[in-house]
Amino acid sequence: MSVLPFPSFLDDVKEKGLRKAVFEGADEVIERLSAGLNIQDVRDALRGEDPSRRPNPRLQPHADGFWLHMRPSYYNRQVTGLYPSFRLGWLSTYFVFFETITGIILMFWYTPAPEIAYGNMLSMLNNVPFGQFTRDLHRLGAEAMVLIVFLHMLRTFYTGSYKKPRQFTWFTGVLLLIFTGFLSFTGYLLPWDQLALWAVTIGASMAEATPLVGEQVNLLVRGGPEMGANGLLRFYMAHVLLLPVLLFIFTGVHYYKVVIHGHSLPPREENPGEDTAKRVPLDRRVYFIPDILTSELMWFAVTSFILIVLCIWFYHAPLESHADPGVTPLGTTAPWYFLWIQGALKLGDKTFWGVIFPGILLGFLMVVPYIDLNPARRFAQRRLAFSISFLMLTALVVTSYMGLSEFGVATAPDQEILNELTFEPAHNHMGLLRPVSYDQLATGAFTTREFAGGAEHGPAGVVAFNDMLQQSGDMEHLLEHLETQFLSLPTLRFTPVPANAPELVHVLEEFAHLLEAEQVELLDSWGVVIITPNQGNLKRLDIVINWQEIEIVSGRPVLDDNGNPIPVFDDDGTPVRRTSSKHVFINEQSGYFN
Amino acid sequence: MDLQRLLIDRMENRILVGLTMVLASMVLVGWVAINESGRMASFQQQHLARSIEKGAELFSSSCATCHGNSGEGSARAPGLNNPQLFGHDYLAPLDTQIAAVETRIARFETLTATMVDEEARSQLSEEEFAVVQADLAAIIERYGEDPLTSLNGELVTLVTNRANLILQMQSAIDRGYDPEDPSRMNNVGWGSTLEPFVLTTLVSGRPVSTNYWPEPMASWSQTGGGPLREDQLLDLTNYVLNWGHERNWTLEDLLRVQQFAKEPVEGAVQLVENPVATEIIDIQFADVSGRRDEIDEVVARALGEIAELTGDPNNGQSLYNGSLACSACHNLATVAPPTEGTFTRVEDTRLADPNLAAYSAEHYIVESILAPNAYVVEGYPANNMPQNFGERLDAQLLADLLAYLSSQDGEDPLAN
Repeated sequence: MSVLPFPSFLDDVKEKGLRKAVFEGADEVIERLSAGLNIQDVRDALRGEDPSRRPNPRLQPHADGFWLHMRPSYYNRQVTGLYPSFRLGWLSTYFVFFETITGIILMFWYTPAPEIAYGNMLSMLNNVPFGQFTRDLHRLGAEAMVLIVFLHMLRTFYTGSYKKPRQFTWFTGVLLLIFTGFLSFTGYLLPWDQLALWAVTIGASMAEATPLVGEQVNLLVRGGPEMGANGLLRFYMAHVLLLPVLLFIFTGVHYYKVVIHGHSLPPREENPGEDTAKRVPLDRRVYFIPDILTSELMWFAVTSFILIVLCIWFYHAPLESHADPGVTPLGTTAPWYFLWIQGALKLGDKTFWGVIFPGILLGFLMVVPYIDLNPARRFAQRRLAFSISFLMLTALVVTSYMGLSEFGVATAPDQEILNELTFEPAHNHMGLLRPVSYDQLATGAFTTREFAGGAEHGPAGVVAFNDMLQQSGDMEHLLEHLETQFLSLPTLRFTPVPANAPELVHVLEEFAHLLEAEQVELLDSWGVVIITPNQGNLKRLDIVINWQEIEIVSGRPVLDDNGNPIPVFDDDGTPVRRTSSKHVFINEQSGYFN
Repeated sequence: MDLQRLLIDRMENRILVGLTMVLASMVLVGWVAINESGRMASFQQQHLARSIEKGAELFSSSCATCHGNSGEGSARAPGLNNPQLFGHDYLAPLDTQIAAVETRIARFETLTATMVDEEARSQLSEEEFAVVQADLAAIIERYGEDPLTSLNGELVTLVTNRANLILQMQSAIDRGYDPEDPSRMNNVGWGSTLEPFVLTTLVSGRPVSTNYWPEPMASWSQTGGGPLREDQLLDLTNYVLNWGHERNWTLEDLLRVQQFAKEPVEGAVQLVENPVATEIIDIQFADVSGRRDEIDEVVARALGEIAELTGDPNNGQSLYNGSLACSACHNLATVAPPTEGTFTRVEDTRLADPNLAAYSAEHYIVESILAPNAYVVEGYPANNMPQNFGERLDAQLLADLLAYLSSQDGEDPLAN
């Protein structure tokens, strides 16, 4: 007799025999694990047979169990395919959990303090197994989530699923979109690199434009006039606590409303004003267990697999240099999903375009179901709503484009070209000179005149260039200029680029093209690249552009009647030539060229 | 829609696709795991390289003016692209060879002495004697019938080479290099590696270096009131250390250095108008007995001078803790005897020594300040205390110091 208060397995064996006891034991375990399905049910389900007629065990877990109490017991066959949902709502939920899990893992390696935070990023990359992988997953998931949630909203709009009785579901959905955007945005700052600091500085500067209380809002968000330790801590707390809590609560509300009202059917299935989502005929029922469950598990596996593949081969979370409030990188923009606000800001008043306009827009989105009282859900009967939505989408694309740094931000062409040649790796791109293999960075001085079109190019162009510099005295100016850049050279003699350095040739060709493309503003220009050894495994690259100054009024060159620029002469009547330059150091091990 | 029918509508296909994806994901994650250590190592290397690039930029704009464009140093600051900083010892290979030859000579002399000395031979067992014979045979085989001559010849060559090498370094020696003590780390008694030495120098600067350089090395860290962030200091440190990266230092590297580090005490001494005891400064411990009378005479004179003065203990305290920096060593008992209870300790312990029978406590203390090596307390090293207070103090300052010490008197913490 067993000492246990209930019959033991051995008692069972004695009583029923081994075979029966094992089978019944297994049956019980399976039923517990599957929350209601015994082996026979599982077998039937796998064979695709109809559920048995005994009290439907597939419904039991929804009624009794905690994990499934919020899931519908069955769906309408009409909504289980790719159309009309495109799985976008499910995907959004997937990313909520995906981001939470990867985010919690990352929290173990992160301290929200300037200087330490960036060090954490580095140690995650050089000292934490799966550190880079987890960070990539979290970052990619964050960007994908913004997109997916937005697409989910579009889909809901176009299938008219926001209409009565689902107005409030839509309203919470817009809230979730906003939370998602802010979650992604607050996370942007945490690595504390240049990309983070400047993207967030631009984004957060909109807070300053809030009417009446702008200064206070700005101080509240950043914890000080500039983004610093307090601001980082605030963004961190918002990112890991405040926004996730809101997101989870409203995800709950949103999904509760989805279940209460049922998944809306494709528009063509219903007459205008009808809502039959909750009345699913028996022959159209698809039970959660096993159909929907297996389907979701499959999508879970597929989506995870895709994310993993992307993060191994195609996507790595960016990490630029340490945040430096004193150095503004050329071409700084807000994160892509806020570009539309940055673009709108270029239209004029900061307060209106930066705060009031987005506020009105989001407010309008929230109340769309309360304004649009047209009961019809079919495309053909919603011409006005569709037209307005297309207008808004177009405006979104246009303002986003306007938000790019290429649009409407006047930078001197020489600075643009120098930046194009040298900028540090950012957004997975880098200056043209950086990826040149270290052994092809031949020590010497090279000129774009070797590659410029026209009569003299090639070696002859180099010889002519040397002569020209000597005769005009520009050589002296060049050496003086380099001296101000802390490069002391006694003399300089330009040579053709060695034949065994094709990558360097390519860069100088590009350099020549860039100068040619700007030949109006950079009149009669030449560019040089001077490569000097610095340490055993370190070279210094100086890029200098020299051109003849022309008359420029409010950022645009003044043209004469023939459409030519007007050169500037000094008091002696000699043309004024201008020089600008930039230098970078390249280490043999920097790996820009891998 | 075919795809949908095939993959999504049939449950067994869903299960198959899901399982395949899970397995594939596991394989991929495993693949990532296998490559992790390599990836981390290569990131480490890449990041160091980029840090050096940033350090180069900072160096060229902030440091090159004094330390030279290529780190060769100038009259304003020492060279950093400098074998001395990295502790390269040019004489080491020759010294090793010289030591080897000297050992061999000594061994040969011992062996031949054993062969000649009947008594010593008789004490050896047969095996031991066989070893002696074999060793001797080996030396003779290598150096011929008269090994001592050829070994000494070799020694002379090596010593000459060494002297010539030092001669070649002459211009560097003129600029402050010491080939016999070639490591900056050893010079300053730095107990750690070069990296923290460079980093802490950047962090804190050298606040008092105006005493021996035209301008002090400022603190470059934001912590110390300077302009640079911690990561920038690390970049700079990485750049400076990169001068030693896989470097085979040549003599040219040494001769290219325009300026070597200066010893902090050189010229740092603030001299007084009427020094109390210039005659007896810099007496090494070994020389004390020869100059005993001179020391006694000068100390007696100093005692006579201060007898007529009243010391100011406050000024004595600021000297003790400030410009003379006595308290740097005389704080705990580890480096030097502690400040507290000096008079008591001298009277109870030191004067018990018969050699000091005729001394008063004041006499002992004044002698110990002016000629520290005159009497070295057991357990503390000789030649350790600065030997130049005789030219840094006048009678009044000495009286102030004594007044301060007597104000600190009390129970001797070392008494038990």
